[in-house]
Amino acid sequence: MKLKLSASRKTRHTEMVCGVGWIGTESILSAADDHLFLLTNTATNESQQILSMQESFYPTSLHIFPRAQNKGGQNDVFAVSTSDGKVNILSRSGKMEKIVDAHNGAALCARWNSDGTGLLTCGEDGFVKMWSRSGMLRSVLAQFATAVYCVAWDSTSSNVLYCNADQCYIKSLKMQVAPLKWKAHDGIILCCDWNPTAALIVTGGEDLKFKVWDGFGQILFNSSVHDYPITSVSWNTDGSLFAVGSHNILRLCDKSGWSHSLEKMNSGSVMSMAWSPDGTQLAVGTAAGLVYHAHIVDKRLTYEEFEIVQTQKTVIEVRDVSSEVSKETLETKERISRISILYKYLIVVTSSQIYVYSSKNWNTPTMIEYSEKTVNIIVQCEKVFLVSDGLTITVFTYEGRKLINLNPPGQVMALLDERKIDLANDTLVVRDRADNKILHFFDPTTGKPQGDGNLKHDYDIVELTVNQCGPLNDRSVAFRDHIGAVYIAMVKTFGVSQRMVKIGSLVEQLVFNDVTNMLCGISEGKVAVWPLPNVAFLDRNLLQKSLIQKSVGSVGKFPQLANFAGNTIVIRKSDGCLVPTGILPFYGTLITMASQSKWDQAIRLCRSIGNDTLWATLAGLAVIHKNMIAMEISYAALEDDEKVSLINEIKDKSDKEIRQAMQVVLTGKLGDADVMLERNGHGFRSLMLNIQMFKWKRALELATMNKQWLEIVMGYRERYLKNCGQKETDPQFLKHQAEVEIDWVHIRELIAAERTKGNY
Amino acid sequence: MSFRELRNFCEMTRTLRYPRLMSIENFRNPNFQLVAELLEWIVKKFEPDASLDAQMIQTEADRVNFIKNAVLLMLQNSRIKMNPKKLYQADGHAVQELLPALKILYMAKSEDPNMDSGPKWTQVKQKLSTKMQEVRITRQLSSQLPETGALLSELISKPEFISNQHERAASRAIPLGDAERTLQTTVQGIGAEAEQLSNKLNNVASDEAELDEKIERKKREYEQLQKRFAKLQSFRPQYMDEYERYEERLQKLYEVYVLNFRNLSYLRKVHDDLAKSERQRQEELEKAMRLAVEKMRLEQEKKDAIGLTEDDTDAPLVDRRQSVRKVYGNMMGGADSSESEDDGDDDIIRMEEVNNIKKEMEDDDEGVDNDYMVGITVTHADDTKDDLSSGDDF
Repeated sequence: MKLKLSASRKTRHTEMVCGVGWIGTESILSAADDHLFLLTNTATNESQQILSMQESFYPTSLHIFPRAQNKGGQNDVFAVSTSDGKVNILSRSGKMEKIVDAHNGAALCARWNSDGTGLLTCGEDGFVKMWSRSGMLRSVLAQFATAVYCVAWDSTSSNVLYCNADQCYIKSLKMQVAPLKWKAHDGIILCCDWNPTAALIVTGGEDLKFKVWDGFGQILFNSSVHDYPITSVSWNTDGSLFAVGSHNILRLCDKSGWSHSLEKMNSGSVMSMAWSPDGTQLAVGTAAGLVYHAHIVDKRLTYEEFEIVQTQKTVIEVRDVSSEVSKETLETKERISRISILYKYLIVVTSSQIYVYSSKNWNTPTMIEYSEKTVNIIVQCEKVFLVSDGLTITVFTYEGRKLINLNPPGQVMALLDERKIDLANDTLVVRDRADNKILHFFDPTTGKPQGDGNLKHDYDIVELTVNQCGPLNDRSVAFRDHIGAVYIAMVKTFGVSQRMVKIGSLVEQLVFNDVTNMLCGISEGKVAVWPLPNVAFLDRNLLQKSLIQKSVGSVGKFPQLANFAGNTIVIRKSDGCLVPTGILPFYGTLITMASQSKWDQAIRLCRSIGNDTLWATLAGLAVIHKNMIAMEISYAALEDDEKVSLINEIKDKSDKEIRQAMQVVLTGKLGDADVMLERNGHGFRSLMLNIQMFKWKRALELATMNKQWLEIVMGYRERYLKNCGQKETDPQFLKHQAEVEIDWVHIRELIAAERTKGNY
Repeated sequence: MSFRELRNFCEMTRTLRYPRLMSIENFRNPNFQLVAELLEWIVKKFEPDASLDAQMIQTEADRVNFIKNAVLLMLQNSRIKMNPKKLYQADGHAVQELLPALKILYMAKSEDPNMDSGPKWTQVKQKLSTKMQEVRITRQLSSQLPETGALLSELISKPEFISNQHERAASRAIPLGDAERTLQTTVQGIGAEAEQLSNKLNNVASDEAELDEKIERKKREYEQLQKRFAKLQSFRPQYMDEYERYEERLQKLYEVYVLNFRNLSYLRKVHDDLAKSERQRQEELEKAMRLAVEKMRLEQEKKDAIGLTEDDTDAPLVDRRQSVRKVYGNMMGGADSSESEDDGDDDIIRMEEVNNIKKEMEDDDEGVDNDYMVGITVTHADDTKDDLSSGDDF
């Protein structure tokens, strides 16, 4: 991936360009020290002067009013800070909406928040001020002795970042707490930006470095030393990339910090940068007065045997690596903003259309008109795909039919990113935009709530993923909350009490396998794979035993999980290298065998491999599919003696209800089994179960309810207490103690009688 | 001083590649050293031979002198007036003074690659190149001049010789008879050649017919052979059925063989593992035993050394040792190991008997597992009987 630069040289600024911004996706507005505002059309690369200000007007920064709030788009409003300490709110037609005297000395930076309700400014006088949309002073957030060069809003507009000298500060607007403060650079910090979708911050300073931080001020990436100070940084709109500008240099970096490309220009320092709303074009204002228009090319995707490269603005090359000759060149009418390939379909989004290519036939794409919104996210599953601009979601089939248009619940204007939406054939999962603790489930074909509709967790949910295989009843969502615990939750539950289970902690970047329901995550230097995450609902021990952990050496500090297809896990190291690693292929094979009921083969496979995790996987599969034989063999291999004996007991039973109840006992849900037995009239069995499990109170309750067997309960209770060396203190038992006389011979007879009746 | 000036100043120093990086905050506080260095650098850009040294600013007089010199040099070289007082302040005001000079340098640098001066430059270049062309052509012509003169004189001397030759050729006579004869022979030769060619042409048709016939024949032959081939192909020898039968049987037998072979090798592996573990256990046991014996012996010796009564003669001690050794021998004895090996063999034999078909083998395994589990449950139950009241009775 790299940037391709072009600049209009015919009409240009003669002085330093201090502010750039996008109006729509096709034109760049720029403000410079020559008092002019130019509008550059990126398609024709021609500029025209739209505004000329008075001689004393020296802009220092420019920020366009967030477009999503601005219906029609004709009346674009932008804020310009100037060197005389004023902040101007201008409209594109040149109408001065408001001028405020914001700062003493120069005003250095002005930023709108994501929904346009607030404006943040900072100045040479060391003040950081917040203004309303109409330019009324709301509050003074901070005051320093020296200049504040840059400010930024976070994605939800609830925190504010500002930098003074070599320190960074994060101030929360919601809570009255002292701002978080840390020393970020060795020199003055000149620029900062906050990721529009996540809690990531990038700063650049006069110590010639740029650094990436998380929302708590912990360093994630520290760049090497450049030749000149970093003068400008900017995140793109989906938060996956950021651009860094220095003297004569423009760098494109991944969000984890490593560089995609480095462009050299000859036009002085990069003074300002802005990404287009679709996040694929960059406007760059330089000290020599040139406004560069850069767009991303050489975007590269691989899927199975296909390699897809966007070579030009409108051209995509598809190579089939399995045959040397087949190479397709796909051309679109307009600029390509986003591409995605999965499940044999290539989706190409241009500025007004969506092309859906089938990998069987590259010549005739399905075309969908889609020009009302930009596309920042594409999520594909086997039968449908969705596109989103981070605010609304539209679902299409691969035939090009539009299914639904969905506004995710929640009113905050924070953008969604790819880790907060996921799609399966029958379920669309999206995190609530206002309340980070809630997940919503929808049916992608009708837009109605799917399964139980939503799910509420106790903590903020950071990322989520949904499994792709199996019917709706198997559909489950794996998610991670902000304290690092990983949970799995069912989408659809019919009277099952347990809906959500914790399966691990300190694991990030959850990804489901594409062909089976294996779940993969990454933790400190290790890859964790759960072959059967669903077994968590049935047997926790099996989940732990079947967990595959593989340590992957030298992946650096913050590796990312790129994909998990088949048996291959691809990890992106913190320096950008892709590292493929594999897990044993037997887990996938085993799952397929089980789904085809080839238990014999499965058992044979486990025998020949003789691996405990494999046995545990088989046990899990057997439990899910309720195959007693396989269950018995695999539990035996795992040396779970008590389970094996219980299974043997179950095998003896002929009554279906009892078998069912015993199977529930096997999964460790004693309460459920107890209720089942009692409801079906197996009172005595239920009683004995409770005695075996030392649930004396419940046993006593059953005995008194049925008005018999009291003696048995009391007898065993007494023996139990005697063996424990304790005395009866429970008032309920004391009360009944007088009623019965414990005679072991009689008790044995009673039990034998029940046994002959077939009740036990 | 304003933010913009400071910023532009820094930017210009970067573009002009000033040897050190300027911070935007450098001039918030007076910094005479920096201003002096900048001033020296700027002056030397205009006048490389200037005798100015930014190191010589220790005393106040030196500093004043330095500023005066620098301002004078700038005025002389580039008609830029600077305010020495402001320069001496060495803060933002000094920047204001330095900026015009720096701007001249900056503009020069930034305009260089631009197209504003382009057309003029190309014009001059063009003119120059045309002049150069002219000079080259003139030089060439001058060198050609003597050569042409020499050639000319040579040619002038030639006509006399040529006219002589011409006359001689014209005076020569040709004999008529000879000429006629040669012509006749050539005419005859050509006639014969023509005849031959026409003959050949006539024969072409017959050749063609012959070849056609040949082709026809070959074709017929080919068809016949084809038919025969088809016949032969359709013919099926008697032994074929039998052969196929045998083939099928062989296939089946081979499958059985493979299965057996696999089972055998698996079992052999199991057997080997068992034997190995047994051996290991044996060795450990032996080692432990040897240690124990050694210890006992040492103790005994110690006891001897410390002083058993004279009554204890050597003989009983030897006896005791022997007895110890006997025990040792027994413990390590092969009986135990042979038993276990026998067990293993038994198992294997049993397995082999049963194991002809995979399914059966599995059943067997299950059986073994079950037995094992049953054993465990029994002991487990006993335990519970011992310590807790619940369990085994029901």
